[in-house]
Amino acid sequence: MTIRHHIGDDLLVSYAAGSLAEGWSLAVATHLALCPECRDRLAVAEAAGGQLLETLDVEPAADQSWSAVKARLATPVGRPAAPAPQPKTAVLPAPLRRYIGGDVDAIQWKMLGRGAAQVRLKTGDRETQVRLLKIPAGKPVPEHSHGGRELTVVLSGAFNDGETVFARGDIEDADASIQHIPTATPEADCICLAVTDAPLRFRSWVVRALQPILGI
Amino acid sequence: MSLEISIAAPAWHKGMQLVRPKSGRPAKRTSTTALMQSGMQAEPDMSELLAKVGKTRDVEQFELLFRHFAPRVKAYMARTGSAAGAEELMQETMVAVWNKAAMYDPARGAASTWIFSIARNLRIDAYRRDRRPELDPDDPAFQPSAEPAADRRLEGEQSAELIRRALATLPPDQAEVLRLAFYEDNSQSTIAAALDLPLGTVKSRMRLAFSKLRSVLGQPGDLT
Repeated sequence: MTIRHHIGDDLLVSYAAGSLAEGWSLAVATHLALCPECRDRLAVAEAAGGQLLETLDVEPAADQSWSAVKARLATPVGRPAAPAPQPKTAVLPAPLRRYIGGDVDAIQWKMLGRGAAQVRLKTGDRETQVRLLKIPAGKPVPEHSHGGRELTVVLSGAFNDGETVFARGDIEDADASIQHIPTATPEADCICLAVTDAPLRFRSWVVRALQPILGI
Repeated sequence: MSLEISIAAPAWHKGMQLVRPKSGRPAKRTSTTALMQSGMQAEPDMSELLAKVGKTRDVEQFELLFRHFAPRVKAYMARTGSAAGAEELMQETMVAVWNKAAMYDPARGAASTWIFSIARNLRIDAYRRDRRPELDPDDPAFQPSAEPAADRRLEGEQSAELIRRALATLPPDQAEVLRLAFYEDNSQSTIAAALDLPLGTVKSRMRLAFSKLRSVLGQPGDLT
C-alpha cells in the first residue's frame, strides 16, 4: 500500500502540539496509523516540542516539590491493565475502532438513500462534525462545497475527485473554495472518515432542503 | 501573562552544564571550561540518564532528571493551562516519567521529546473537554514502515541538537507561530486572531518553520 496524499505540515504540527480539536485529531491519527512516512514526520514535530521545552526560561525547582514527588516514587505502580485483546486483522485503525466499538462490521449505518449511508461519531469538541460515509461503488457524493475545512480519510475502496484518486489511507484536505464531486470508483463501495468544521453546503436546493432531514 | 519564551538556545545549553557535587544536589551551573579546568565530570546527557533510570530505578539519578525537567514542565503547564494547577500537573508528569521510564527508548528520540509528550497528554486530560485520539502501535491495522527501523531512526540527542539549532535560526515570525501552537495551547485560528493575521498566513508560517526543521534532518519537504 502506498499512500499518495498526506497530512499537511500545519495539521501535523498542531497534532504534535496537542492544540488540534478532537475531530481533526481523529482524522490525523487515522492517517498516521496507515502512513509510516507521516509518523516519521510527526517524530520531528514532537522533537521540536521537546526542544521548545528545553529552551523555556525557568526558576530552579523548589525543594518541597522534589520532596513531594520523591514521596510518591515509593508507591508501587499497579500493573497496567492488560491491553484489550486485539483482533487479528482490522479495516479501521485503532483510533477509529474506539469510537465505533468495533470494526467495519459493527458500524450502524443510517441510510441516506441511493445506497449511500453515514454514521455520526460523537466527539467532545464543539468545532467539528465527524462522520463515516459509505458511497456506493461508482456513485457520487452529492456535489457540495464547504463552509470551512473538510478532511476525508479513505478507509476502504477509493474515490475520484476530478482527476485525482484517493485510496486507503489517503487524506484529502479541502477548503471552502473547493466545489467538488467525489465519486466512488466502480470496483467497490468506498468508506471514508469525513471531518468538517461546518455543515456541508449542498449546491442543489433539493438536497439543501433535505439537509436537516437527512442530517448531513 | 508574559508571552516571552526564549526560542534561541540559551548559551548554557552548549557552554554550560549541570554538575553534581558530592552532596547529592545539583550545583549551580558551571561553564564547561571551568569544568574541564577543574577536571570534574559534566552531567550525563538527559536521554542516557532517563534510560538508566528506567533500568536501575535509582532515585538519586531520577532527582537529576527532576531538577532539570520539573521547572520546564511546570512552566509549560502554567502557559498552556492555569498557573494554579501547574505544580500539581508537573508532579503528575514527573511521577509518570518515573513510572514509565522503563518504556523509554533513547534510539527513538530525546528525553525532552518523550517527557514533552507525557506532559502534553496530561495537560489535555486536565484542561480540555475533548480528547486527543492516540495511535496504538499494536493495532493490526497499523501499516509498518517498509524501511528498516535503523535507517529511519532519529538518533535521540543527535537529532535533538540539530533541531535545537534549527529552531534558534528560524525567522522570528515563524518561531512565534510554532511557540504559540506548542506553548499557549492555541488552535491555528486562535493564533491568527491573536496576531491579526489571515489563517492562511499562520498555516504557511507553520509549514515553513516545520520544513526547515525537517530539512536539517534530511527529511523530504511537505508531502502534500
